[in-house]
Amino acid sequence: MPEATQGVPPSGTPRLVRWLREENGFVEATTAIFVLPFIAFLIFALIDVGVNLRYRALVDNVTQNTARSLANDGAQYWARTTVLPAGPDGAIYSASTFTWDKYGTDQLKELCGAKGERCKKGQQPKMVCTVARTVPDAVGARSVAVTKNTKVQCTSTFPYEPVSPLSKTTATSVGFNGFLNSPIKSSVTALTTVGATG
Amino acid sequence: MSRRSAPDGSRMSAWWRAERGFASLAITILSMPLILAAFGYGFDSMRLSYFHSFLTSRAEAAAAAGASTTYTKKFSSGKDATVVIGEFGDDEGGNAAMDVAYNNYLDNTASKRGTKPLSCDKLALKKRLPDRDPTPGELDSQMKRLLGSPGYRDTCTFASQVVGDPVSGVKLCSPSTESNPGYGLVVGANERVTMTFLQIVGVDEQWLNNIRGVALIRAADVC
Repeated sequence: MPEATQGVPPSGTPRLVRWLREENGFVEATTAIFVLPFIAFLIFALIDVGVNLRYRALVDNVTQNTARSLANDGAQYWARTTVLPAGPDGAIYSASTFTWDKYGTDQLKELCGAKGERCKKGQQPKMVCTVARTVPDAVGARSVAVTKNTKVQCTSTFPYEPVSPLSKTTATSVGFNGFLNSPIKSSVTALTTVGATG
Repeated sequence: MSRRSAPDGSRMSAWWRAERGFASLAITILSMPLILAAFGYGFDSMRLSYFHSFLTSRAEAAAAAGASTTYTKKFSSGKDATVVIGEFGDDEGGNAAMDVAYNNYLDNTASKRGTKPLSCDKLALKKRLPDRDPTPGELDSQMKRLLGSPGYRDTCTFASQVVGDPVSGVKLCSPSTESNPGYGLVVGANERVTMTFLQIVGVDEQWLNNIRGVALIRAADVC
């Protein structure tokens, strides 16, 4: 390799190395080192926030839908009012075990994705529905409301997993670490349209 | 000062002292507000869209809760019994049903109210007497008048109104038509959402006006 003459790198030196050695190139590279990672973190954080808000709306919809179904039937399961829905596998639920919060939980599990990629490892989403005042359970009747206009409430917890690995630390998630890594919760109250005594 | 005259290991300090180095850092610092403003605008827009969807679903739940508050009037003359929205003795005004809808809406939005995203601490409740002109176009304009008129637009308001005539058994089982448009409850709300990033540039809050929910009474499939 020819020896360097004063102020000029040898001609066999790679172009990138020559550019870095020049003062202009070093200035531009340093500017990029400051700015580009920050912009990249912002972009990834914005994408993750968008996906998170979409999942919040989905969890809300499932909770709302389940609460409405529970309110329409007036019970977790009541042979008189409930039309058994189909589960995620397409098969109709069994009358002996069906409850609306089991249906809601199964719907939330579907939101985790085919490989469970949207739910934190080892955690499952859950929905719990309560009917304020019920008559004693009987065959074909579970948690039947005493009267119509009885308050029912469904509460969901969804262990959301962010899309980008950058969202797991405070520095790379631009401060959105807490928002993106906390479970999504939703709660809906409704009033039953029927009850055991009217 | 040229690069080759700086002592070994002080290239950074040479860069810092060089005018170009300092200028590039200054440009970086000066461009940060613009980058953050763009990010904040995107974030707050998404958040506002989410809250619009959230409040609409809560308004629908409130309408369903109100519309489920009914009683049955029976006639001794042998006519069909009719279903009336409200509580017995409510003179068909449906006031009780509108109260139920209002309370259900407050219940379902309580966790986000006050110092949290929804900054309306209290919602003024506005009720309207049963309207006997329930076609969709009139219904829509009536609710807009309730929520969108001067004095109500951009104010913390919850409006509720019974629409249609009490229905007999036969009408309950019939599909909706222009002559039988349905009987139910309409609710609407104007809410105020606190911004996060846009507060930096002076946009503290945004109004979401005319959030709507509708519920109609229907009988079961078998009539």
